Amino acid sequence: MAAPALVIIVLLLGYPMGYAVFMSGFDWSEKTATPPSFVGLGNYAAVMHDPQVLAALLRTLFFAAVTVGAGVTLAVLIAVLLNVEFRGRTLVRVLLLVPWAVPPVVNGIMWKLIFDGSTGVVNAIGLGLGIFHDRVQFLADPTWTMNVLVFAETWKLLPFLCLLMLAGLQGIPANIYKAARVDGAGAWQRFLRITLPNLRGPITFALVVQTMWSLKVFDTIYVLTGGSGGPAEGTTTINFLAYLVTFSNLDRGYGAAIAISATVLVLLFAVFWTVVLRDRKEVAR
Amino acid sequence: MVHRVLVGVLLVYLLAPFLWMALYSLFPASALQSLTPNLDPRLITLGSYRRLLGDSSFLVPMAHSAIVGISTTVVCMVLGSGCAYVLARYRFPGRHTLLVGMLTVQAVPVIVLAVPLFVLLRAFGMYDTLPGLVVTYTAFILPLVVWMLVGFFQEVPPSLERAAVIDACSRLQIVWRIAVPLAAPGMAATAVLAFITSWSDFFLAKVLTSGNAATLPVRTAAFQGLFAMDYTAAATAGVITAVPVLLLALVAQRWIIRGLVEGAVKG
Amino acid sequence: MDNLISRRLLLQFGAAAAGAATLSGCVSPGDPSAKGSAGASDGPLKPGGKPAGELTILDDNTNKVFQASAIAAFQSATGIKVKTYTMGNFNDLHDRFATLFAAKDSTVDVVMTWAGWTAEFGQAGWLQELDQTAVPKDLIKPALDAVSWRGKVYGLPKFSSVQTMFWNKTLAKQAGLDADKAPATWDEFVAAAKAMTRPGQYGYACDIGNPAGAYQNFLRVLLLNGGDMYDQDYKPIFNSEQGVEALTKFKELLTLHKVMDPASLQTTNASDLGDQFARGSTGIVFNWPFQYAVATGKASKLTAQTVGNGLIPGISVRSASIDGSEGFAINNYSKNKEAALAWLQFVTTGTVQQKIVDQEGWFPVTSTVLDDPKSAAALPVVTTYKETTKYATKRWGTPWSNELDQLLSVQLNNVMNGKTPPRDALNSAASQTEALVKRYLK
Repeated sequence: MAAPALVIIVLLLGYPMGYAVFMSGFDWSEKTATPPSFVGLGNYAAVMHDPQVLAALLRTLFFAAVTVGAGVTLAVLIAVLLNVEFRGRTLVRVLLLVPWAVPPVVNGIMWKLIFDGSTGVVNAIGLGLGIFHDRVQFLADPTWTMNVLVFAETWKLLPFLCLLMLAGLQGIPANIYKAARVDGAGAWQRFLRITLPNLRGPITFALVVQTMWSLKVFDTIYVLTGGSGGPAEGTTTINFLAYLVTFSNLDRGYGAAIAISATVLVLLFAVFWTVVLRDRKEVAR
Repeated sequence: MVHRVLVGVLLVYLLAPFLWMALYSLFPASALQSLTPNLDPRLITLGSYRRLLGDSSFLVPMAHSAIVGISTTVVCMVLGSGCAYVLARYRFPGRHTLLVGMLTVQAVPVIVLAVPLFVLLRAFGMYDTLPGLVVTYTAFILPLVVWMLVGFFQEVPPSLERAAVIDACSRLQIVWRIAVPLAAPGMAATAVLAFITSWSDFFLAKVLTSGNAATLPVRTAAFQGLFAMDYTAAATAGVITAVPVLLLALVAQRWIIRGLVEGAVKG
Repeated sequence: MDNLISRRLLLQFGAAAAGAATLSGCVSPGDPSAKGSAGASDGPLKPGGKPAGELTILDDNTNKVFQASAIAAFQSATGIKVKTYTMGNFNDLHDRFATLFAAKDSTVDVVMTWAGWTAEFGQAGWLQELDQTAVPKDLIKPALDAVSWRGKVYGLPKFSSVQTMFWNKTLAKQAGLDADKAPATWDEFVAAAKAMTRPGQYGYACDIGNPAGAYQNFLRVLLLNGGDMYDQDYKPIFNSEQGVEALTKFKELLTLHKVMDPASLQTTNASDLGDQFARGSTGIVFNWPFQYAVATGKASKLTAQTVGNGLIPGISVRSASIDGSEGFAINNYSKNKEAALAWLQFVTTGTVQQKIVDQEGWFPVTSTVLDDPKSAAALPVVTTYKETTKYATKRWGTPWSNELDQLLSVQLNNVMNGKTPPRDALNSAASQTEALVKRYLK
């Protein structure tokens, strides 16, 4: 019963993966009228010394660190907030799903409407309340645009992480808290001593999947920046760079090398977190 | 009181961006693009929705997305549940590797596979076709589906199935009569996730289609082009693209929350 | 390792292996035919014979109306059927074409092109070269340049396009300026833009939010100062003294004179700029001919009476401009090249070109239609266009245009945001460009 699924996965992912590795071994530019020539690991050597790749890598790490860090932290806090009984709790938990359900392309359009430098509502609010002296060009400055991107992506990934934490919280027996209260532990103490340790499972899992997802971000960047990864490459993450090199510069071999390097990076992170996760499980048993 | 304020702030944060886009789809752009947005309800018009929903160049991609989404979900669920059941019930060498492999696939950026997939689909005459998209999405989504379903099937107590074996049910009957109904909420959540993932995909659809099989996200993204960005149309397309997913998420929220999260935590 | 696994599996699954064999034949390295000569007839394409059959045309979305009548007229004149005519989003077309060509796709016969793509795809061997006998004699030079690369003609133009200056006469009058008099020098332009800048309103705006826009705006100001991109051997010379001075003056519009709308740095295309001008709070823009139609359209705050149009004022020369002409080319893998050529030629004929002028608001590609008094009557901007032909008008579309746009946009943004001085930015861009030229100039 397992065979058909495995065959499809291996054929449709394994073969292209192998083909991409194959391509990355060639100086394979569609633009030069010369046939591709085998360069071995030459493309990877070039990747290692390419300042554009390094800059994209740093941007990617920044993006991933902030989205994962802020996402998980906020998720824990929101989960604690929603774990209390109150009227309308179910409704709030349902509405929590809204950002999760918004497709990435729509997410890009949405934040463009909000942060646009001349027509965006954030500027209207900021100027109206006197917070800004002048319009802020959120999408014209590389640093600002990256921050908008981080903000947009955090908004979208938060619900999933929140639900994860909520489920974790519900697994904590209430009497532990009661006992702690009897022993005179304050709210902060209870959070540190009971809540956080008990959330280690969900938190670790969140770190694994969210790191992978954050390192792979593409759609939101594409729509938010009009397909450019700009301004001034400010939102060109390693994945987006691989796209530009492959499809815009038509440098298939080098593009594949960048993309595969990015995959290795994601896998390294995945392995790192998985090791952490497994350790925890064994301890728990 | 503090709690209520915090929950209020949270709700504004979660909903305001989407609601603002919805407003954009209803009001003339000029009313919203000033320092003092004019939200006079008399300005509301459904003209933009009427225009897009009467435009075949928008409706066709929308139908494509629906067809591809549903087909992918069905294929993934049928193939995935068989695979997941085996992985959940039987111990065999390489089982753990397979499970980890399912999760590892999540780490592969689609960009790596875009060119090879294009070449592969073309070779089989499936470039720019709906079946081509379904096959591709299935390959990407199936691992996640299997991974989640394994968790749900593991929750079904094996003792129930043993009882069924005594009643001389076949393996398939056992799966169909006992495992599937008991894992139904989790399966529903998985199906919803599969649908949303394929419905929302932009990149693969962009690379693997060229007009005959373009999907809704590709069409929606195209509102930013050589021509001036039509804010109202882009917002309307955004709302239309998001609404089916939202409805699905709301209708199935009970299952999603249980399935997605409990499966994930236990897996 | 993945490679080994997939190979073993391919051996097991015979059908898949067969499929894989076909596809590796598709774009296999080392296969000389992968580079385009296969399937192509030898030598440039000549007109002649009696082409028939069906055509598939993939155009951009620049021209929305002319094709409705043009297709019907073409079909009845030639007996060739236009099976499908698809308009794609300009920003997506490059990737789409490149993917199609790389796969030697023959389903599309005619593709839209412009200077950059002609050079890039032409050199890659993906476009069918045309024989001189296939090229109409009355084509305007910049329009022909847009479909040529290094002396070879790879297509025929669809419309001509050159940027001119548009100004808002109402704002000029409010600022106490002579609304009918075009600023003739850069200093006059800066002064006029300053006068029209007030709270909520800017004297000047442009589109440097994406790589292509950044390149175009730099090239324009470079030409306005008498500079140029390359010497005759494609050695980059845009970091010359003229280049540095030009970029400095451009930057000063934003940082010193504060007449440039800061939103220019996020505006990603000329159409958004056109809309912005039509909203009535921008004094001056340098834009493509369609700006006139947008500014005098229904949704605009301006009318034919309040739109001023003239030459772009130069810095060290009287004027200069950039070219944005577009055309059609023939897919080298097309199975119906003669019919495709018939379409290319049909588009350059008088009746179609007149529609391009009347209905679309772009310039014609032949001197015959350009000099026809009807053209200037339908599109007043045509008068200015004729004047611009006296001055430098270039585009420098090259096979490395994409990469150049990208690297230049980074440097330009750094200059505008005050992170890099103009000279350093241009020197850095020039040395990167040199490497590109070395790699791609064949």
